[in-house]
Amino acid sequence: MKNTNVELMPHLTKDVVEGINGFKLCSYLIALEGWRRGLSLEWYKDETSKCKMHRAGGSTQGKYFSLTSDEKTHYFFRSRGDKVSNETVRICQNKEKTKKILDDQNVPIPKGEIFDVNDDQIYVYAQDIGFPVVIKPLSGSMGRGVYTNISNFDELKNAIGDFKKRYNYKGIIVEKHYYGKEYRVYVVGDNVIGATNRVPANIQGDGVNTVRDLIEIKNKVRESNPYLKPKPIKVDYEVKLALKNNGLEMNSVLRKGETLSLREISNLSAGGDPLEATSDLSDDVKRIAVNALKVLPSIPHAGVDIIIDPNANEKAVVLEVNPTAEISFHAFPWEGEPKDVPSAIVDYYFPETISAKKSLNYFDYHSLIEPLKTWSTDAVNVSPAPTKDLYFKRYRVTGKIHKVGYMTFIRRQALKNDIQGYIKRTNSNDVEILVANPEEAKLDEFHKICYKGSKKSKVKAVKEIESSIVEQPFKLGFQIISLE
Amino acid sequence: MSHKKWLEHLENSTPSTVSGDKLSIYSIALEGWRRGLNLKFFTIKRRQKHLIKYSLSDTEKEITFSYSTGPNVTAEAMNITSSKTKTKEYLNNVGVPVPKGKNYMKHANEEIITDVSRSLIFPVVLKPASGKMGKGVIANIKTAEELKTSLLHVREYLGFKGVIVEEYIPGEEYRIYVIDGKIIAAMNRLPANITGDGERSIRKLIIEKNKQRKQIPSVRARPIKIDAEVTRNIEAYEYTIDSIPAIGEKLLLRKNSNISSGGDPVDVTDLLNEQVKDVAVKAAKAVPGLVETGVDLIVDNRDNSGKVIELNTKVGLGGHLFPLEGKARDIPKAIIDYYFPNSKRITTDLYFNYTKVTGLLKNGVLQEVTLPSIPNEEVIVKSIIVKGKVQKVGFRNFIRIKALYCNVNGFVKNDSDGSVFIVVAGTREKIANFEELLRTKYPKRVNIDSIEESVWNGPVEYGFEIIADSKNTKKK
Repeated sequence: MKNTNVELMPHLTKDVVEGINGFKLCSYLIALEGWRRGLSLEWYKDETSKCKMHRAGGSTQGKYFSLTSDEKTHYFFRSRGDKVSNETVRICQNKEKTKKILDDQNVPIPKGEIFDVNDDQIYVYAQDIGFPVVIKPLSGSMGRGVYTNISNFDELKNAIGDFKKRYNYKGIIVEKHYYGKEYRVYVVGDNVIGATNRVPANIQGDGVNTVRDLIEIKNKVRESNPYLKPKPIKVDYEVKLALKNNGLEMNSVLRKGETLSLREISNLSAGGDPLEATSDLSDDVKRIAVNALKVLPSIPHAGVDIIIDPNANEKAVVLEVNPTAEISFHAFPWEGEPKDVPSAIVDYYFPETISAKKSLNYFDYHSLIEPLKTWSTDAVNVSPAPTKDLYFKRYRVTGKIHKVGYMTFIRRQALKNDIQGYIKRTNSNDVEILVANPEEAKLDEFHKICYKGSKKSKVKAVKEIESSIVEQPFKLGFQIISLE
Repeated sequence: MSHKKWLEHLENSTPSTVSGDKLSIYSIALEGWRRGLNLKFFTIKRRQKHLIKYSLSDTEKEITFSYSTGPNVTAEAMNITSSKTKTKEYLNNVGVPVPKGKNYMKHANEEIITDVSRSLIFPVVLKPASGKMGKGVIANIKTAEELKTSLLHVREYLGFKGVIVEEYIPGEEYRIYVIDGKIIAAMNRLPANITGDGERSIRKLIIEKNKQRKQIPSVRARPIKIDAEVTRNIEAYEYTIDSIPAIGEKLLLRKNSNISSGGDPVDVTDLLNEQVKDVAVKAAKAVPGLVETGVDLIVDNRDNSGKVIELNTKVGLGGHLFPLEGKARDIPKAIIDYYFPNSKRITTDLYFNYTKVTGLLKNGVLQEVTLPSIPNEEVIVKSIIVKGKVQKVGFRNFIRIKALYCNVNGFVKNDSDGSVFIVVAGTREKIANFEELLRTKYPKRVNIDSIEESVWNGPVEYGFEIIADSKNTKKK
């Protein structure tokens, strides 16, 4: 199996996003980008006292924040900023309303119409727009009552009969079935920043490994992508059904090069793959996605779902507009070049920071969100990001340094002296200290403090084992890393 | 240790992690917060130290505090009081009695001794001109010879060049807290001491005393340490560390009365005579802009008159709030009354987790933390016991989510008898909303047999938490 697909951007390494998932990750990525450019970052318990941003539900802690420059403040909820109007958010919650506006403004949408389920006009309409068609309930969700790829009159009759037997929905949508790949396109202003084709959980045969092993291997590889790590392929009823339909079992060996799709749905959380595919989009298609936002009232950035016509790459239809779209998979695709959507969003709100020097620091998201989650604070303001280049030195300390308050002493002194880094016990029972500061001289001064130690400690030696400039993302503050 | 004369609204709201200097910050911030004021903690960096400051605000103004001191104490006043010499000048100018004495900067020790012998009468007190917290102060020097060794100690060994020599006044030294010309509290600090019971050794008595001190927020982290000085003082009573003092026999273990070296704060507010009160108030007024101050004053035991030693800012409140003897005095109330005269305490049933809030500032990740403000409505506290199939079915998490949704504070925990115990605090309406959800919206896996309610005495931490199962359930 290919293992070249996990490519991370240098400023968003595994450590930076460790353990942050879902919509929290969207929020964190934008907040981090702004903060690294020197903007002031504040997280809020909720939006009540600040900028009222419409939302359907869900919690706000760790997802509601503001970025502030000398001149202005912008508020964000997940990936959505305050330049997206509440009116548009409400419109986009209603797919039919959205489609109507798009259609009125000549943005291509799937041809379709709403009918009463007993209306005979359905058949006339289906022939009008041409088979194959799709039927689905007007107000359904999660794919319930959706019948796809209905290719003739008889099939349509059967499908409607089955629909009436099984469901109580009155309203039904009859839509042209579009072949072609579906893409989530992230648009900021006039530009497409990223486009992702999400494919259902799948494995590729190598002529050697069994299905079971292939799934396990794939999940292993997924683990090296911090976004996909918590989203493994789970062997459940649906996966087993897919195997059965293909005449396979868990112990079967797949032929070399054979790709096996394990699910119908392409949800990433169910093991699907996000494939970065911006290059699949022709300029015409990009224009369609950009226009979809232009015709709605004030929505300068959002995720647009489209299907591209497989026979004409200048054609596409817009399925949906997502004002509070998940953006993380653009930055952490399974395949292709990562796209920095968070950075594009911050560019849009704070264009004056586009060329700002960016900090290599990141902050401990979980610990600062905790007090907001338990409501013991209303708002927390993150310390400014240090933007200067950092020198670091790594010391190895030997002597009587355990159970004498040495580690807490060093941490206290580090914070006092503006030294970042960490202290940890090594396997050989020595202590390793990493210190970082923009001034190299300060590190040498701190060497003396490491040597002096706490009252009860007796340091034998502080040996410098490494010295250089920090080039990797670096956690803000000074941590005591305990032995695992 | 519960103390019947402590402030009830503070005693039960002071977590064991808040002691020493933190008490001053916490008690004032809490008082303001309980009046519905907005409270913020933030850090500033000064001289290589991250200082935690806090501000209280209403719609009209924001008041920033540094320890116990607010902005109406001017920089000039701070500057004057930080110098003993300058302070003395201001006190002299308005006729506040001070001990007789002189300042010596560059004089040789011999010159000082000659001059002192001429102008003062032994015994005398020697102190550094710029010392803090009683460091380097030597009292009751009886002869020129003793003065010589003391000078050597303070100037050569401790390195203080400038010194003050003053007449020694026999008597108790009081710390009197004055704000806006009013005396709020006075305490006497007794040097580290123990009282014999005719059974236990001095060592055991010290251990016992330290155990008691651990229960008292103002002296919690300040035990009596058995060091050379303590041993010397014990020897002066012709005892050893293993001797057994008689019942009621009180031994002073140190000369200095600093609380940090094991001294006892004792409230003496009701014992001040009128002349002493006058002197304290006059002393506070002598320095312009010194609206809040701690006056250090000796009551001369020959005539009960007060003589002022020193004026302090950023004074520690712990000893006044949690004295070992006598009544606690509500200085935080006086401070907030002064800065926000129109504010009123809304509740004493809620407090915030100071350690959690400021812990975030200490590790350098955050620079400012804003606390939720309390709505101006009556707060009700109650406990609820839910019986039935309520454990291991996601019930506590359901409770937590609903509590946060309804904006009620408190905690939920599993009890060993299989029931779930909830404490909630909030406005009447919010608690009613919560109870409605508790009764109607619980998850399917939960099966409720009964819900019992009762009153819950005692303050509740702001926010809502699930208390994890453990051997020792939290006692209130």
